[in-house]
Amino acid sequence: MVNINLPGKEEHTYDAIVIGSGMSGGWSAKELAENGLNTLLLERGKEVKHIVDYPTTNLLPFELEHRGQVQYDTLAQNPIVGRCYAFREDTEHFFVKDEEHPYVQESPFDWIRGYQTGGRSLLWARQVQRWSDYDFEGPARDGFAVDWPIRYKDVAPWYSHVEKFVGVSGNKDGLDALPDGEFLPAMELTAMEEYFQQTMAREYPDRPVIIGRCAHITGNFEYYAQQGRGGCQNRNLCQRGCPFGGYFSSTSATIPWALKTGNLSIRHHSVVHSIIFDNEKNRATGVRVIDANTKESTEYFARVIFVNAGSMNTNLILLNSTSDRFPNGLGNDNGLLGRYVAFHNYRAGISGEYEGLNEYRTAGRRPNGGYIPRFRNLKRQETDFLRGYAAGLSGHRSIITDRSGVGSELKENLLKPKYGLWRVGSHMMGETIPKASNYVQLDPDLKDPWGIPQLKIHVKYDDNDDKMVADYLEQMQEMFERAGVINIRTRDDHRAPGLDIHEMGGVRMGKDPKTSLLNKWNQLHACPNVFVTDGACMTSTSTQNPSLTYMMFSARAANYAVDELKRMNL
Amino acid sequence: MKMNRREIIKQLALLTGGIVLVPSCDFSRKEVVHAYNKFELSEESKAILEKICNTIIPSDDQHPGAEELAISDFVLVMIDDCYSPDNQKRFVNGLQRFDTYAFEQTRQNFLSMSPSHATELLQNILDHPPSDDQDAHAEISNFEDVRYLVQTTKNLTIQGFLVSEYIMTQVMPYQLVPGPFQGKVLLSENEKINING
Repeated sequence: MVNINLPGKEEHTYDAIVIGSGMSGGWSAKELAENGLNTLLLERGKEVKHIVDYPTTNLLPFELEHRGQVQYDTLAQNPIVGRCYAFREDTEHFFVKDEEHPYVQESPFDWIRGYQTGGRSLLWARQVQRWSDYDFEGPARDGFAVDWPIRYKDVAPWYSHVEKFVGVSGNKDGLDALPDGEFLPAMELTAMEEYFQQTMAREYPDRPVIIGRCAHITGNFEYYAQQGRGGCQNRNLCQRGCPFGGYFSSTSATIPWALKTGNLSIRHHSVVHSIIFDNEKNRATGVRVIDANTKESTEYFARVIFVNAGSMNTNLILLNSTSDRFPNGLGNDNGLLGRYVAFHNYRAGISGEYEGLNEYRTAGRRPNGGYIPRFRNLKRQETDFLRGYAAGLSGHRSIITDRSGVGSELKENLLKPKYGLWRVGSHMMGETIPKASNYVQLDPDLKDPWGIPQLKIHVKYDDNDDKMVADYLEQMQEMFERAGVINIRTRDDHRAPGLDIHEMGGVRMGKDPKTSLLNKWNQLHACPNVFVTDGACMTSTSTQNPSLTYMMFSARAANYAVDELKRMNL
Repeated sequence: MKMNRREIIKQLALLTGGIVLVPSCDFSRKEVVHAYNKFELSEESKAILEKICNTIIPSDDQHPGAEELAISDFVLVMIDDCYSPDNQKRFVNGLQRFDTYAFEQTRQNFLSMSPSHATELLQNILDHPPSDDQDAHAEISNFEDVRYLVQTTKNLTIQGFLVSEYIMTQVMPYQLVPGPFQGKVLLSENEKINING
């Protein structure tokens, strides 16, 4: 591509460029800017200002024209994003519509995207569980993927660093499978969940049940007031954007914080075409950006580049960053870029009812749930499949409204709801095994609206996933039965990969440049001034909700980059 | 676009004194048309739908019903925007056939029926066992559309009623900021249950 704006080169030059303003990009930008680096944050979507651009945040249920339901035509036109649980009348403006950014599905893959300031951090489920060495040592122990180049002790301080700023509500549960962190007061389990917890402690001592650790402010309010954020108000309307800043998003927290340093510039509507590699200098020198609206091409330059475009888009950018030195994509000497993509298996769930605890109910709304950390194959291999699953748990007192009849009888019934049984449910979060056969590539012919090759996604379940689904349902059914749960129903919805919104890998970390793309500091082995710290860097997936780990990698790598720049090593 | 059209119809209705006249050859059938994005309804059909809603949830001394809460407008917005073309067809066909069916069953037009007769008719339609008569396809499918109309209108009327400003502010208040969550609260005797609590 012709360098069209050489005259403006100086004003287009920064110390650092961060591609993507979502969960991980917000952290990269914050850490780089706080350390004094003149940083440019590129966001391909529209600007969303905290509070100001949350148009539905204070609407009452009856103020939504369709009471929250998405319109028929919208669903018909958006079969992919329409399947996302969070895509509702009050949130649909934060999701990318199917036709806005086409991609090729060689096998079904629901790619759920949010292009705006903060990306999908506005929309996430806010569960933040640390990894332990049972997770980092997984590939080495069980012989898949490659060994992670780090262990828990390398990253624990960075988990703490991130958690303090984010605000994480949780209990110090003392579990070696799920290390404790920097916690604010925990939310309460419901009576049903507490009963289930106690029953499991008796029946299955190795299967603890805890309250979820979630990115909500429940204490230390003065500290978070410095960020302009207040405590969680339990509205449970998080995906509209929170006017209190009660939950963490890049939009409410890292980006405003980085802007306050005076070292951060944000450019919206900036689709990154590729990273520029200078053959003579043997380093990346900048990025090519296409304006999402005008389609004009511009270049920006920096000494370090953080790729935080979101796992799939990060793969896309690197694959599209070709040069004489890297004809197959930036840093792709071994041909593994785009391979070993994995995700979380969310196919299965179970529900039932419980006849006891009739004297209790709950009060208010809780933006959180119970959590059962991985117990399967944790300390040794126990089954005929590899790895295991974590599980969500929820137990709520049902309220029954009698809807029979018509006329005054019906009306009377509607106004006299009664308490029903406790309803208890769980869903699986399974680890999937990264494989060379699960990959993304550039389509040789099809282009997106910005002239960039479309991403071709080829990601499938395998036999290991099917066995794990069966085991989850079997184990969980047994656990429910031991707790006296009745009317148990199980489901395997066979959803496409991607709908978990935990897509990972393609640019994995590892010790050996022959078998991995990134080193232990998230630098491309072959181009060390490019860092990848979003989900694309994941060597394996384990079972924990991954955002906390991406944020941790971002903060850790950004501080390393700052140190290396000071040492003149980058 | 969608809202615009509805808004235009509303404004036209204001300008023309509440109705929008559409040229028609058959004035005897009162072809005054209410246009939605996906379908049109005659004045009579609209009146029938309103009465179905008002029969499903009537007004009384204590609480307003479907009429005061303008539930039939909500029903039509939902059918227009959130239902498939096939289901819209069934709904509109059911509505067009409704009065003929009512007359066959009761020898009365629905609009002139007493509230108790209207209630009974709706209940009978909902309770009607599915037919296994293979020879009367057209009739059965027309009745099934009538039943679909009544069942769908009932579901939407209940939703519109329970998720109305009146219920959610006066009867079972919904708090945007509900206060702390408690997982284990002892029930008190004769506790009034708030489905929005």
